[in-house]
Amino acid sequence: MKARERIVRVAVVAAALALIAEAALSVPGGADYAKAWDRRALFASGLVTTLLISHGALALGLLLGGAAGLARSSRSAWADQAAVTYVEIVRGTPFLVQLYILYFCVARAARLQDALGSAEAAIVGAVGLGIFAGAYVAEIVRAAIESVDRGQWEAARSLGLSHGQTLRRVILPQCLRRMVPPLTGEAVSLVKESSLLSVIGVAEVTFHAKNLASASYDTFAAYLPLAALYLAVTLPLSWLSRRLEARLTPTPSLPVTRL
Amino acid sequence: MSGPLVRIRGLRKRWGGVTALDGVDLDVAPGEVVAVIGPSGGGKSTLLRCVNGLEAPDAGTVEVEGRPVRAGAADIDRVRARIGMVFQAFHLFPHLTALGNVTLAPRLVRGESADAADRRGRALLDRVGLGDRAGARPDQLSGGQRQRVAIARALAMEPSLLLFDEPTSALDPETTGEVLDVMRDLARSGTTMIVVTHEMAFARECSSRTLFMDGGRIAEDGPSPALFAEPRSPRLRAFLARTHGGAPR
Repeated sequence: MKARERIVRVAVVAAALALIAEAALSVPGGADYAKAWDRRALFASGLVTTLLISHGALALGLLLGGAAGLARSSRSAWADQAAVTYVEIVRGTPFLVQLYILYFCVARAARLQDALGSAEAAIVGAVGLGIFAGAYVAEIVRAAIESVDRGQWEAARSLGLSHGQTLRRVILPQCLRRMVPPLTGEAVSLVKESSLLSVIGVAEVTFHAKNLASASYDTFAAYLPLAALYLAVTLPLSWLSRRLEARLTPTPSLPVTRL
Repeated sequence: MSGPLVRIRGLRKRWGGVTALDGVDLDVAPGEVVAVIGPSGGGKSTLLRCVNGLEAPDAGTVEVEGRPVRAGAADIDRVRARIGMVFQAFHLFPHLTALGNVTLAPRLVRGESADAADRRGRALLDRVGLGDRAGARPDQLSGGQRQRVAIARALAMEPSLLLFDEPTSALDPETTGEVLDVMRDLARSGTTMIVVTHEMAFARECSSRTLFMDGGRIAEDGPSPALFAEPRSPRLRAFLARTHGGAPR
């Protein structure tokens, strides 16, 4: 069964790759992938920028989202409402609009350029991305906390544990594992969303692909390699998530019978 | 201590349109083992959950050891630490071992050292007959074993009062016995207990006093042997007939 599954997977992936390769090579007018290869140093430095920004944004997003998610389950109505407001505003507006506001309004008004110089766009972009991701992380944390049976709260509180002790020592240890898959999904989204930073001039990998496309009018040669680069980052992340989830699962799961 | 251990006055609680508690007054003296029986929906569990503030009553007061129990009050954790509770569904902490379940609260709430808590925890697991399963996780234990760990966990806080909310209702008949044995020992040792139960045999033989709750009120209250031998109200008589009155099956 396992071997057969593996063969099916390899076959499907190979077929998809063959289709894409066929399409990539039979572009009307022809695509000159050598142009992309000539700019490989730019693509590489762009990819590094993408990864740096994604890391920074992920760290900020986890921090903000963790705090907001915990605030949702706190007994303080103020903290709860502040977290709801943050999550609803961020999730209710497009990231692109948030980015414009942050960069063209907030950063300008605060004269951040004077302090940050040429790194301004990248830093503002990373912070914006972190704020954006934080709202989704908050919902992941809240959902995970709420997924723990009410009886766990009652048992802990009836022993005299405080709200905070219950959360730290009883609830969170149980829901960390449940947070891994959605959090990795969020990390993957974040890497992809970072492509939008190109519109405020951050020299990440999409920025260089766009430059190539507008200089050579060869969109295939610019964007197909770009897609491959994103996949090279996101696919290992998904794989890592599955590994991590499996490792955090204490007991082997029962075999699933497919009907 | 003089006076009752538990003092309940005018307790009322409604769920939407349903009245769970309709003016309950109750005193429990130290050392009493009180069984609470009655039909489902009669308010038994709600009464129990009001005693340690898991449920906030709409009206009325609960005092344990002379201290008011109020959900959300600043001292509620200290009050609860003195009241053990055993649930129908055990609610063991699945990420901790049996010993970890027992030692968590003594370490966090009473600030016991790991060594001291472990030593006491092992002794308590011995007492409930699970000394050899200290390292087992809840999912490696049977239902009866889990409930005995839950009892040891409650005892670890050395409570002045133990509450049992249908402790054997989720168990099969084989493991029900081992849990009832532990509870019987506790009752004999002078622990003050309030036990909501469908086990009429336990109520009749092991409790010193039985309350029959119906429609949110204490419909009958008396020494267990008398209450089972000579039920006064027709409703209790009917209830006991339906549940075999605790006669050996």
